Amino acid sequence: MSGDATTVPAARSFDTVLIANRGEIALRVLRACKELGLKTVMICSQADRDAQYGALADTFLCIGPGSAGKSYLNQEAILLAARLTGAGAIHPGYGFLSENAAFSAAIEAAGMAFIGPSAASISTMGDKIAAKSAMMAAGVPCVPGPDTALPDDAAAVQAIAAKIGYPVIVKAAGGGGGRGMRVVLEAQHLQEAVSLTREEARQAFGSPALYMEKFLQHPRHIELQVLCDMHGNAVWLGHRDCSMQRRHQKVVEEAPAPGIAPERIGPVAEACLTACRLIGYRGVGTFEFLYEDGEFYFIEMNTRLQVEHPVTEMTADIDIVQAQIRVAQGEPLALGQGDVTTEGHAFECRINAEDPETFLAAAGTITGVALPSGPGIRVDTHVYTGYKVPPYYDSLIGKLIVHAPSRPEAIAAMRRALAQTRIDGIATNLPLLRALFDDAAFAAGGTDIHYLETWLKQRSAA
Amino acid sequence: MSRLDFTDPAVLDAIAAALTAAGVDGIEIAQSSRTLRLVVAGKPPRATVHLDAGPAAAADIVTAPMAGLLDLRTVPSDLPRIVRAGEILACLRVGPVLVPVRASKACTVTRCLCDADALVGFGDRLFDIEARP
Repeated sequence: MSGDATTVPAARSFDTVLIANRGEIALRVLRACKELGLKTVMICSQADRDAQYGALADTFLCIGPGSAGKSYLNQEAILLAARLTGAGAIHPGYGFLSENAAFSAAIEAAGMAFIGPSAASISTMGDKIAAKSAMMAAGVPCVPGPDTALPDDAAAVQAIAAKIGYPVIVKAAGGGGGRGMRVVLEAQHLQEAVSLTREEARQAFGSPALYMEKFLQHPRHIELQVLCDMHGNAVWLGHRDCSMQRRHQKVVEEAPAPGIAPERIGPVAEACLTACRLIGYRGVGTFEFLYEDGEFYFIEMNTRLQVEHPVTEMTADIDIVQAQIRVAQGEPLALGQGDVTTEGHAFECRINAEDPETFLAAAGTITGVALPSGPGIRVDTHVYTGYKVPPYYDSLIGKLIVHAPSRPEAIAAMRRALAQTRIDGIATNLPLLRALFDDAAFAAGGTDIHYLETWLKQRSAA
Repeated sequence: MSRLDFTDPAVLDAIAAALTAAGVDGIEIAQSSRTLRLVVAGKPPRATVHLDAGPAAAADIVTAPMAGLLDLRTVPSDLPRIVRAGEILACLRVGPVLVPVRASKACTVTRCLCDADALVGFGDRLFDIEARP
């Protein structure tokens, strides 16, 4: 558990924010800073130095070569850039260093504000076993299984699996993103799975610690957005369904999650807020759950801004990034739970520079762009005609978000928006997104996390 | 010829790193004319080095190896100036730290491309130089 739950951390005043990220999220953070009257420093790698969005920042500074390890993941270079430009705070966006406890600590140690949670909170939630233990202490429902690391003794591991009941899943305590996990259907395969996963965890995450849980067969991915200040206040801003995934990467998100009764999710959300208060959490965060047969099971907490935050912004009518910055400045939350209401339905499509059939990343120059517009339509993107998609980074080049009074109306709005969207010169997943929004099962709502992969296999076989 | 395995990602990484460090941000291969062009980073229009352009071009640039404030106080300001390989051309200041920018080869510094105390980023062009034999 974090040790900072009993003391209110000192707020740091700042008038300049360094944005330690790139692409659409760098622009999104920049917009929030401008609206709050803050100056901005945007850093970039050599591969991004010609990007037009750099001109929108007060200072645009190249800090290293194209490879992320030498630029966007280079903590020393980012801290030097902050010092050079007089930045008083660093916003990490998502990905890169956004969930790096050492980075958060180094920023605070340098006398600047990290726009995100404390290093202690990040560490706790980054360790799956510690996170599960913290959640169980707060009454957050978890997947059946112990909140301790698996012992080395094979017989003891067999006993734990038998108690949980097969199938079980063995996971690396420090893992994530779908790596370092194995599903075991029968007892005879358990020992081999544990040995392989332990070695994989040792090599990939630096720790051989494993844990075991019940494997759910057809769950949905439901998540809760929370916002906490430094004064013990915490609210939740509604829920999202992010079940439409391929290889653990979300493709389409929506808010609210369809078919979830308020009386079912309300107590779960209250338990999440209790957990936030217990660990002294500050800033925005997301509690991710598997949902099956009317029950919620905690997976992990993301201690950062999410890619899909816009669907919550649209339904809750709150600027989450601005709220995040205000919290870092020490302001108490401007709203209590009773002030939070959600309206209508929102979808987000992730537009990726990738082949819609093979999913291979597609770098290259964009030769033409047409984006939709109108009431209830939002496009978060950094690309334009002539933009060169570099080969070094994530393939996300934009997010298309729609908001309408009801889910069927939002689906119709997204179909129209996708039809109006055109990106020429490179391959994108737009054809896949269009086909998905014409799918009857998706339109009915409630599909599980395996649906998209199965759907893709059936399409390629047809 | 070397026996480098060009299918080895580590070899490709090393080559990419060396090219990046040299200011190259793209390679164009035109097979019909059998030419290879290295595209050098810079503001448009980009400089292009033609490897098959006969005698080696003498003009070159020195770029910033990191972000910093360009400190010209420690070096003579008269240009053009003949320097030896390894000689300090300027420093980059970050707080109290001065990081020297050195000539990688014997050359004549013909022009400084930034103002003194300017904030420069990694890869920014600092000096025009002409190589000396």
